[in-house]
Amino acid sequence: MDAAMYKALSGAVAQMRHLEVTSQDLANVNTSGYKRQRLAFSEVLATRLPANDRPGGWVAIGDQRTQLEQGAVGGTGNPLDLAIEGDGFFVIQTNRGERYTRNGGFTLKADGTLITPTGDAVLGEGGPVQITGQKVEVASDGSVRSDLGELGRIRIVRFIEPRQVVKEGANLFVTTPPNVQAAGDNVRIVQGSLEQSNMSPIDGMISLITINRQFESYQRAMSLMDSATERMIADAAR
Amino acid sequence: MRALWTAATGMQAQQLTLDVVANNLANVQTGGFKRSRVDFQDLVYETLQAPGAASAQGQEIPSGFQVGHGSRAVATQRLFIKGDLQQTGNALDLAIEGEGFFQIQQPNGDLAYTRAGAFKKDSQGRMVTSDGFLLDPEITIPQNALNITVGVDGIVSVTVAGQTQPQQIGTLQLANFINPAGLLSQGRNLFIPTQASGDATTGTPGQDAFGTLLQGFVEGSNVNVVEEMIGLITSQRAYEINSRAIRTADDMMQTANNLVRV
Repeated sequence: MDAAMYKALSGAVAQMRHLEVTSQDLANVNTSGYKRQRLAFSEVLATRLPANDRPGGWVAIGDQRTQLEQGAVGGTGNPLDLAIEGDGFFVIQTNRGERYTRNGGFTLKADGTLITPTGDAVLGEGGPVQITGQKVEVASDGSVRSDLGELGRIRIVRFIEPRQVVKEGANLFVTTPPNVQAAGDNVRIVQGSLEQSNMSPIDGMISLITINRQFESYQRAMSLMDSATERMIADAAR
Repeated sequence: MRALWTAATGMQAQQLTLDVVANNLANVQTGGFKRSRVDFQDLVYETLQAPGAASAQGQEIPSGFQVGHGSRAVATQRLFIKGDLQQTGNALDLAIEGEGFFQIQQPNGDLAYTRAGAFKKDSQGRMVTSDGFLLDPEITIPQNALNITVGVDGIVSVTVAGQTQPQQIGTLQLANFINPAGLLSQGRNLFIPTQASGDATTGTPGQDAFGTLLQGFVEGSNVNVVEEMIGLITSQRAYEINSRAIRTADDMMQTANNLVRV
């Protein structure tokens, strides 16, 4: 009886975690370059028991993946807004090391360095991108030019194993250096556009409803087991 | 329940978007106005399980588990996209076609910058903004001037009564910044430079990267009502869905409370 109760509890706890992850996605439904997360649940076996007598049915979070699929690209008309189409990331230099982002809403420092809204430099093929002159143009391959000529090329990388990537907040991703390689030729940069969050409110709505109902089912199961026990005790005492 | 607070940050972020959209819409008819937008970022994550951690001898967990704390507004950015040019026929209405700002002298002597070129004359014939702030360099229009011509290169000339030859009375200069988005709005259509915008570089209209002047036109607001409406709808819906997340968290807590029968 106890095991059944705890199995239902493990399911309820997993749904609470699911809600936490979903509400994070929903809070960022308008955050440029945000990538939603997906949870997979897995059954946990009581592995300490003999192999032919293992009751299953405990639920745990088996896997959390950042869904790197493309978000919609929306035009803003701002020359320093860059969107990436395809499997690629901008490289950001922070004082903690290199970080990666899909949010290309950049701005400039007074000395012309291309930076994120939090002030970290955007890296090009040879260090931070410096912008001088007027009429900045970024080509689809990332090369930057102004009326003063070529200014360098923005570095775009991809992850070899996307699952080894951790979110850091501030739209930044972090991973170990060997997991990074130059992006392929099919990656395009679109100037004057931003990639929107890939979280869809409709998916979020459906998740919220299922989470709520599943949590309720687990509660029902626990209540039922409780009343069964109650009756059993009452019958035995009679 | 972390979900409650996470969803609350989402609602706050959307409220801020609404404030900015409302300000944009309020200025849909303000000459030289530049619309703003809010940039968001996700908040820090709590890593409950790091990817690559060992689950057993020689076994690595392929992906970790992270729970975030919501979103926050990190900056409001002003978008210096050109507004539509509107013909007025007024000789002192000037629009900049291309990059650049008019330089305005504030009463405290500091320079401010604007794209709103609807100038007037003060009692001494000097060109001023609607608030009476002087245009820099100062241009004084003689009392007996019959008509005023401003060339594309900023040369101001007038024809005075009794003369046939126009006479040159001054040249307008434009200023520009490496990063106009870093300018600070001061109200009254004026911007002041900051660390982020860099210092102003001045020059003659039409030269280098400076725009040319167009007399008898003003630059309208660059607010696009349709675009703002879409912003309004998306932020309202995002607000709604975040409030649903809060309600779901609340329902779940109620369900949990119902476990104990009293």
